[in-house]
Amino acid sequence: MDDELSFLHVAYIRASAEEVWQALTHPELTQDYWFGTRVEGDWRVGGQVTLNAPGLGVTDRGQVLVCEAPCRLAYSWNVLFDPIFAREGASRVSFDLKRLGAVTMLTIVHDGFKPGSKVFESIRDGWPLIASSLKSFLENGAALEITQASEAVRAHTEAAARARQA
Amino acid sequence: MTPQNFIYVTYIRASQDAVWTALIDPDFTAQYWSGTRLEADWRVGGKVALIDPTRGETDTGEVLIWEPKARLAYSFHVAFDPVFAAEGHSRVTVELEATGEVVKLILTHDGFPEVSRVRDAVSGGWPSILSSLKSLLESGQALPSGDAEAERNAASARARIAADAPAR
Repeated sequence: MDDELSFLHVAYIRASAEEVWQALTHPELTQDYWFGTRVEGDWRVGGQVTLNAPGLGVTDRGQVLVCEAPCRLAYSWNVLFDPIFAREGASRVSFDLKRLGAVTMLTIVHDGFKPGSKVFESIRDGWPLIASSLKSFLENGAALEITQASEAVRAHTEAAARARQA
Repeated sequence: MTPQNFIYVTYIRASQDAVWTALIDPDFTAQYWSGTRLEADWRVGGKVALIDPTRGETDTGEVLIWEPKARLAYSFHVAFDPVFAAEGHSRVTVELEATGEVVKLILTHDGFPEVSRVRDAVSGGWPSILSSLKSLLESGQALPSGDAEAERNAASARARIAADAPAR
């Protein structure tokens, strides 16, 4: 077993797998729970994916690696908005959706990082926040408030600042 | 290889008081934890027991940290299964941070031996328990326990099969 960096987050959401899939792949839905970010994708293997954040433009870009609605989705992940992060090249995020009665088990795996990756430190804080907001959005119709996103953005920016100093 | 800690972070739209009560009140834990009552003498050194509605006392421990509304930790010994029990104690720590109208909950389960079946089992269990806790606090309705519990049992069974395998 190697020590390759890998992030894993599992959330159980009271929604159908189709609803979770829609929420992951439709920009007008992602912007509701992903703190304004529009995830725009040409959802077929090889298609382009872009993350568009309010006020920042295209922050991340990738390519669809796996697209099996409504069970499995994966795309490569290049962070563009910060030169330190951008230099690391592509990592990979995958979403697995499993129907368990009235609940969908969502497994997010983000891996494929370089050793000592700063992107890893940054996404490790981001995914639990996004997944929590997604769950609130699908179960209650109300995503989490933007103040928490500010915290995540601040953490992201601080991680970038630390990376620059190192 | 150093044993991996299990860390889970979730953000819950509720007051810090409400989240804290949900963590330490057995009437509350029973609602989101598939009927499990977390019974404890909440002070450092006090006893902790997890009581399953059908199997009785499944896990035991001792309070290690007690900082009301902010942080608690207890040792965790799985008593109901001989393979798990042989591993001895691990440790559960829960921390709360209020940020605006949302509470950040950080659960760390660590102190595992190098090869740990308990870690495999709890890594499957905590996400479903904490997802159900979040649903209960935000919507008044926990997640239906049946399917999540079946998944946990399957994970536990897989861990036990894996634990038995090398001996054969």
